[in-house]
This record gives sequence, structure tokens and C-alpha cells, in this order.
Amino acid sequence: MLRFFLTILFSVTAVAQTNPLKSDENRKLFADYLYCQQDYLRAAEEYESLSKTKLSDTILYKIGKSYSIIGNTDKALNYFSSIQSNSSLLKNAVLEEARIFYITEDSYSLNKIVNDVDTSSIELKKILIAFYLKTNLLNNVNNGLFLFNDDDIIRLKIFYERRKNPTYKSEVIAGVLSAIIPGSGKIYTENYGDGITAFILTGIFSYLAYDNFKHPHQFRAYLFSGLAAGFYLGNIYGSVASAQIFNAKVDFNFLNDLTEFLLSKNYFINEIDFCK
Amino acid sequence: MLYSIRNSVVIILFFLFAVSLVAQTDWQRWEKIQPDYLKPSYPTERNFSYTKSDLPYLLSKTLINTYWIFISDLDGDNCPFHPSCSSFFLESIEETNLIQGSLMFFDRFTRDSNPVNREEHYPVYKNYRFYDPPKLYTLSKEKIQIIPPHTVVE
Repeated sequence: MLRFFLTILFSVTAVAQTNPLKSDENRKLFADYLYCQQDYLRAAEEYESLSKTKLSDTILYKIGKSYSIIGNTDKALNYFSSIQSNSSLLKNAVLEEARIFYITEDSYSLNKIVNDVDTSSIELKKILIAFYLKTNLLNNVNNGLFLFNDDDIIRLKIFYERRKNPTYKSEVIAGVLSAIIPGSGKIYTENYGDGITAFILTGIFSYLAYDNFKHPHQFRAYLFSGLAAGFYLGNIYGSVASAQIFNAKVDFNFLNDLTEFLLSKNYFINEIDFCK
Repeated sequence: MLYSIRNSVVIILFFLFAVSLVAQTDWQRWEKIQPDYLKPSYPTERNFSYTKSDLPYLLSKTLINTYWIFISDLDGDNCPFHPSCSSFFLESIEETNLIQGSLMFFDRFTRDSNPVNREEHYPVYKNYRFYDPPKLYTLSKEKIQIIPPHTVVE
């Protein structure tokens, strides 16, 4: 019996010693496979478990990229910033950092990258313009940033004009219009159905109040007067609120379109395909 | 030698038995299930209790409780919006004051009376009603949060 257990123990130990499954080469192969399968969290963990000497710039970039994709921006920034200054991946790493600063709205770090780290990068300047458009800091978008004239800059200029002259609706005009003709303020803010409904409701209750005052029905007359006044004043109030919501939607749509544009351009980053 | 073989057989049998025991519980994964194709329902929850003691709240809450008991419960759960118009009235008053809350309610009632093109304007609450919270209408721009139409709000 003892011999049996000893044999098992010995053979298990012998196999364990020769087991190459967790060698650096195999781990890297497995991590590459996971990365190409878009299993980024596990890929990053596998890459991280490699010994320090095996961590090339490509692997550091891939770890940073993995963490960036899964939203762990702190770790991603750590890895991107640890790439050697003579690496061919440095330009992409800096752009990836800029993308993270854009998303996290870190104005200080983004400016530092653009003005200190790589002053000649057009792509970085484009991200900076987009950042100013996103945060509505239009005074910072000076002509120096619009020096170049490629398709992206033309698109960004259009976004700039849109941000500078938004198609807002005036809250005062909406309120005044509704005070003059019930519902017209809502129509002004492009809520046509609500505007027509407000006009009909105020009209019906006003007519009922008038008709009951004309005939000796005092209670009903005052009741309908109260309701008509409620709908009239409520519509003025609602028109002002509607103008506010309209303006908020203008901003919302602008930011959506800007984000869509940046995503379509991949934040001006030339993606490297590691999975060919 | 014979002793050793017997022991090995016992160990193997023991493992086989243990594995079979665990394997027997695997049937749960393959059992027949009864799928439920019905949408989950979210009946309107009404809180009749008074949570504040100021006069505008007491007046409006009494009015709405009376409406809920004598009219709404008999008429049915018909408001196409979430929160319903009566709840919107209460929440508006809690959010602002009696006068502003009343104006917000009249405006809401106007929107409720408009049956046209609502699905293009409002997101949808999980109970399949249009989501239209009072915080959008308090005239405080910071509280306005735009949710695109057709989005399901949990």
C-alpha cells in the first residue's frame, strides 16, 4: 500500500516538475489568444503574470489597451506611461492616454500632453479641440488649433460653429407667446401636439366659463373659470419648461453627434492589429 | 499482493461512487422547465400615509387620497405616464411648492390629454408607461436629465 502511494506521489511530482503549461512562452501564447478573442481582462492578467524581463513595449501596450477597453483607466494609464520613449508604439500610447483624459474630462493632463509631451502631433490637437467642444470652453479653441485643414478639422469646425451658435429656443419668447395665444409657446418649442391640446383645453374651459356666467350658473362658472385659468397659466409655465428641455436636448444631441464622430474616427488613433 | 489489489479496487470503487453521486445531481441542469412568456407586471403602488405635516402637503395629499379611493381605484389604472398624473401632482408639490406644483400639474394634464406622437417624445418606464418625472419641469436647469425616446428606464 505504501509503495502504491509513494509511486503516485513520485509520478505526480515528476510530472509537475516537467509541466511546461505555465512557462512564460505558453502564458504569452495564451494571453495573445485571449487578447484576440477580446477577453481583455483575462488577457491583461495573463500578460501581467509574465516575468519582468518578458514585458516588452508591445506587451505593455497590449495590457494598457486591455485595461483601457474594460474601463480600468488608472491601470491603463500606468501601462501606457511605462512604454519606452524610443518605442514605435509611443505615439499610439500617448494618443490612448489622451483618449482617456478626454473621456474622464481631465483638462490639466490633456493640456500637459498636448503642450509638453508631443507638441507636433496633429491628432492630439484634434482631441484637444474636441475636448473644448465637449466641455463648452470655446474661448480656448483659438485659431492656432485650427491651423491644419484636413477632413477632420473641417468636421470639427462645423461642430465648433454648432456649439457657438446653438439652435436654442428662448424661454421668454416661449412664455410670452403662450400668454398671447395659449399653446403657441409649445408650438414654438416644436411640441406641436401639446400646443394644439393646450389651445383646445384652454378654449373649451374658457367657453364653458363664459357660457355659465352668461346664464345664471355661478358655481359652474367659477369652477370652469378656475380650470381655464389653471390650464392657461400652466401652459405658460409649461412653455418655459419646454424651452429649457428643448435647449437641453440641443446640447445632448450635440454631444451625441460629437461622440459618434470621435468613435467613427477612433479618437484619431491608428489602431494596430495584433491579431493578423 | 492480493491485499494491495483489493485496496486499490476499494479506492477506485469509492471514487466511482463519489463521482456518481455528484453526477446524479447534474440532472437539475437538464430538467424540463416551464417557460413564462408573460411580461412581468408592475401594479401601481400607492402610499396613502402622510409623511409631512405642512399645510400644502396635507391639503394636496388629502385631495389625492380621496381621488385615489373614490375615483381612480374604480376607474382603473389608466394613466399612460409614470408617475401617474396624481402622483406627479404630489411629487411636484414636494419638489417645489403648492402654486408651482399646481402649474406643473396643469401642464402635465395637457401633455396627458395629447394622444399624438408620444412615443417619439418620452422614454419608457419599466411598467411600459411613458417616463415623465417632475424634476424635468421645476425650471431648474441642473435637474434636467435628457433620456432619449424609446429608452427603457429601470
